Amino acid sequence: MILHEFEVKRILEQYGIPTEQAVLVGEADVGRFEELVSRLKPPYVVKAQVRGWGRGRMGLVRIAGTLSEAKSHALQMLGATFRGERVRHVMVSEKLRVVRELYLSMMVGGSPPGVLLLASSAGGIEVEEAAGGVLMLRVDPYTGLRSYHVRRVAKQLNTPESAIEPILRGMYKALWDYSLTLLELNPLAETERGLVAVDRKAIADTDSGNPRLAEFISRYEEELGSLQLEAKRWGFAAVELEGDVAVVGNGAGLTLATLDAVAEAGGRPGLFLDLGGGAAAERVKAALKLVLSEPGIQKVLVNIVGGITRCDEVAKGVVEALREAGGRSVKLVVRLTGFMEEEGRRILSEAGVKVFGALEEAVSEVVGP
Amino acid sequence: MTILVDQGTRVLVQGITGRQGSLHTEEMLRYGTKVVAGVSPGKGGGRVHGVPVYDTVAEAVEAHPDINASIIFVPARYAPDAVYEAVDAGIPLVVVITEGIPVHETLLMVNYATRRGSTIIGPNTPGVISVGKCKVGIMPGHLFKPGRIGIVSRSGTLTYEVALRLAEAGFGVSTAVGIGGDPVTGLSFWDVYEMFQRDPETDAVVLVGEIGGTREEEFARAYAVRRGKPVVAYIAGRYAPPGRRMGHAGAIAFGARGTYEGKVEELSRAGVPVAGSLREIPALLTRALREAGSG
Repeated sequence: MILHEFEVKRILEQYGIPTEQAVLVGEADVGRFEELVSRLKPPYVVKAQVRGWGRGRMGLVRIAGTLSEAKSHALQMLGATFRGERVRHVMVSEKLRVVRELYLSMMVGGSPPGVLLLASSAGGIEVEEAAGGVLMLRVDPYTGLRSYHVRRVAKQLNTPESAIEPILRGMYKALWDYSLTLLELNPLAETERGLVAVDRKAIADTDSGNPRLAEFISRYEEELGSLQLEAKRWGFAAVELEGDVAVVGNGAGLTLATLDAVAEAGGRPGLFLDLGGGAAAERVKAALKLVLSEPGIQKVLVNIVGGITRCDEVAKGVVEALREAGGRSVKLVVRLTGFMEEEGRRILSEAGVKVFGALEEAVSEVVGP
Repeated sequence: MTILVDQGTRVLVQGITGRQGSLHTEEMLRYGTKVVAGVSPGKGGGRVHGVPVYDTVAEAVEAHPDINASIIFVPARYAPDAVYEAVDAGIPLVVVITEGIPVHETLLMVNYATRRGSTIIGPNTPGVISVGKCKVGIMPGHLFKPGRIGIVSRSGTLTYEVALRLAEAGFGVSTAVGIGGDPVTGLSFWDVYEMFQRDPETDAVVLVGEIGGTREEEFARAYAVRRGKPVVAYIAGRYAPPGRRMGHAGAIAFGARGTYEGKVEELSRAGVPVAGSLREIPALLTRALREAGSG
């Protein structure tokens, strides 16, 4: 789960990492905008709170010289959408005078896996392309963050060790305490007040069962639409997209590849739905009904490679979903291969559903006229 | 010889009395895998498909000192404990099928295993199959035809899809390894490639990746310096939107990191041809083998 920026800010503050003065304004607080923001000194930075990268380029980060200008930016942002997500909160921050922008992040991964610490003296947007390079250190989870790591980062960033050490230690502790797989300060600003984390992002591992994440998870769930809630109930991975073709598959990688094949053939994917492994008729039926309840979906491609999943079970699920969903007219195409394929094909053909053995044939059928 | 598993592999199934554990024990036995023992705490003394069940790994290993691999079908909450138990019993290969193990737990578990000399495949993996010889996993064995192409993949069913396409094009598979779909796994693409590199039964490798993380990029950097047997790559997620988790916990591109374009660029620069679609894989493989002089 990608956390909201204001949530990450709260975490950082607990670990003593300096952040700027800011106020969070939710949709319901707009009437009190002046009252809330008046305790901050102008100029302001108004930032839409969305779960993702790239909001700056979409006009969701703006500078305001006055309170009324800040309010007008905020009103434009609230209710706007960012990649299908509605903006429910904006954060208004005091704009600090920045001398230099730095980049600092920690992420879990690599080979052998560890906590990867990335530091660059060029903060801003595309850090990967920074001149002067990016320092990457692997921190072993058993030995933890050591003083030599701090010294190397200080040197890379050209900052005093005493300034960077508490930030690094705080980040490392927060990463473990909050089950974060990524914690990114970009930029970490050098200001007249010293180093301040003026923008920040984090991804939390929701499989962790970490009670510290409860508040964030419940906010995330409140943001979910009905499709996502139903998908969650069944354990499907569903992602809503812009187009009109629903792509349903068994397995994340296969469903992704199916989405690619549809787009490649000129189709516009409108929904990604991974059934997961071992999908029985009941689950397939639930997934199909969910897909058919989406008004924007005109075409459905179901792609199943049967291994543990039985193709005949899938076929039964598809047929039952069609019967229960009643007269909604969508173009439904199924690709079946693998375990119990023949029986599955027979069941579908008898119900009048077009079924193919090769993915490409199924894709051109669903995308074609 | 093949990589990771072969006819000499003797398998312990942890979580053998559960639904998945029992089903796949039967499937592995049917494939010819030598499953010699199972573990389920509190269920010791019984049998599952003729395989004796023990309460602890230590007891199983004492009764069957030839055990040299374990496969774990234990729910996420208890799976790390099962892994530590297998590693502490000295089992050199541990295949973790379980999905949803907390990432930080996996981080500690993998580092612990490495220090004790055990290899972990997974978590969230379909396992490993050396075609016609041994399967320690949940993949449908009949979809894999024997041959000389190695597969290393982050994704389960996509691996089966690729194996099917290879078979249709006349290629068979030596060994297929699912490294797992989580952000942290025991094996990297490069780890497995190095094994294929030493395997006389493998001529070329198909790498099946996806958006998210930096595993493909890490592979590309290593391959650029130490290239050996030809590799053809396929990356799923070309048309997936950034910043959304596409099923797998690891399949999320953020910022400039983990994108399709970035992965393709690094792989191409390293000399790894990347198939633009699944259909292109066999043709690229044929060309790569011809250029390497072994096809």
